[in-house]
Amino acid sequence: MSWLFKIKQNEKIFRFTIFSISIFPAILLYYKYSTAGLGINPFATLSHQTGHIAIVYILLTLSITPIRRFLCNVSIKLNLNRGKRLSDWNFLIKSRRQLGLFSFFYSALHLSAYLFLDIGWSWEYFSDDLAERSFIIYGLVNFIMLFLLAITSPTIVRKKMGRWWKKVHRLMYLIAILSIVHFVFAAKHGNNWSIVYGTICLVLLSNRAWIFLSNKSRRQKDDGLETYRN
Amino acid sequence: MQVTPWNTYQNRREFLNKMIKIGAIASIAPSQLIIAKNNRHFLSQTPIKSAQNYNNYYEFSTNKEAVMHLANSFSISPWSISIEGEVKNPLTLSLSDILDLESVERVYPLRCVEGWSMVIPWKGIELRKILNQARVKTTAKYVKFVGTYRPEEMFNQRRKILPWPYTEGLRIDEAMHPLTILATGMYDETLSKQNGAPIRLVVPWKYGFKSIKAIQKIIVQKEKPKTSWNMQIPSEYGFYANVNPSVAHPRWSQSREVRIGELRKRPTNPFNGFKNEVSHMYKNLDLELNF
Repeated sequence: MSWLFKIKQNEKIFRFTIFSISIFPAILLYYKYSTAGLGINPFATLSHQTGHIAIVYILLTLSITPIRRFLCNVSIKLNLNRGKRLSDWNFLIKSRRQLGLFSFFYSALHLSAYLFLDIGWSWEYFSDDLAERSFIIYGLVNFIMLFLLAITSPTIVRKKMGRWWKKVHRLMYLIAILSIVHFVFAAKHGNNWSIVYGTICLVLLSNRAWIFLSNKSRRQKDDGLETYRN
Repeated sequence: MQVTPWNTYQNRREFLNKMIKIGAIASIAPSQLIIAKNNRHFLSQTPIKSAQNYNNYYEFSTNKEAVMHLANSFSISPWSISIEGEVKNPLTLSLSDILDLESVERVYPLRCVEGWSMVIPWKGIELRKILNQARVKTTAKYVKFVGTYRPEEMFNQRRKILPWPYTEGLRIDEAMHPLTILATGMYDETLSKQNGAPIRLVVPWKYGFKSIKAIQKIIVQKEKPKTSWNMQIPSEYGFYANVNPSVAHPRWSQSREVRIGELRKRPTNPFNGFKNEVSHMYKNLDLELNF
């Protein structure tokens, strides 16, 4: 396990890796677009794939906290030298912001596909859609919330916001639920990805609910004594 | 300037030649005029590859680009189609019987309820030809079409995703309309399996899901048939399913469509561009309610 904590010392490399992996789908889409490789219906490919990737990134962002807790528990069970403290896994938190920003990025691409290709910036179509299409509203509300989280993500803003930052950024739970609702209403009959996404989202959120509701004494402590426990 | 597609050009010539042969230009039935006019819309045709590789055919898959591979194993010969119910002369026609009938070529836009469209040159016969041959009784009000149920070949029929076999229906006047055809070919080729071989319906002013594929039975009846999509999700898929940009699908808009080959959406036409030809059939119908 010690290699992992060397990565901790080289946080920048870790984040750069995540960045490279995360930007890859966008580059691939652009490459396919420029080589006419988006299939027979490029509009559908662009709007569907950016949407899928956005949901995946929203769920990835939400998975960091449970993964961190899980890794910590595993380290305690295996009685490893390093990793028994939650703070040993703090480098994951920094990449959580990255993942969150990528979910914003892919949502923005998804929204652009709608604005440029679907309605072609027509105010008439847009207002019709808002009046009649519930999933457009969910998607738009979601995008606005993601935008809010994105602009409040720099460290300076975070520090200025104090305790409020955490409260505001809990909107991510709502964003996850709403993005799946958006998907359910937009997808055609027979598309079962919503079950996959919904299950993952349920696991990630119920894990938090479980921790929150469980006895305080059973919650993960981070006082440094974990290293000696077991 | 848009070049007239070869087929359209060819269609007109064939049509005019036929008329000259008959020597009866003056006595052209109004409906034939309609079709001649329709084929004069210089629609630019979707490439055949796109039409054969992008198929909504739930019997095989919900993935439109997978259908062509999965449909390979579907066996289509021998094939026969029966016309029964409220007819004086029930028929069972083999595919070659149908191919022997006088064929027509039509270039129609096909508008899918999902919001995309293609322009396809079809070859087939007018449905009314067969119905007239079967001599429809005056009591007949509707026509029901039954597709194929073969879960061992039609992979996705193992899922109960729709009521199988796929069933569709038309009102008798819609079925007798000269624009309604049974297609056995497209782009000067025999119909490929993924496009509904050996024989499929094409009703150009309705959403694509009405144009049932691999038809086995045509049943003329008094009562309105129950149709697959309508049974599955009645609030979203109506019996009529006329292309109508002003009546939205409950979840998405129908005001625009992506023409395959284009990147941006374009506006959808009422009755898919056949308003003049078909709107008279729905004069007394509230199209909001009867979507």
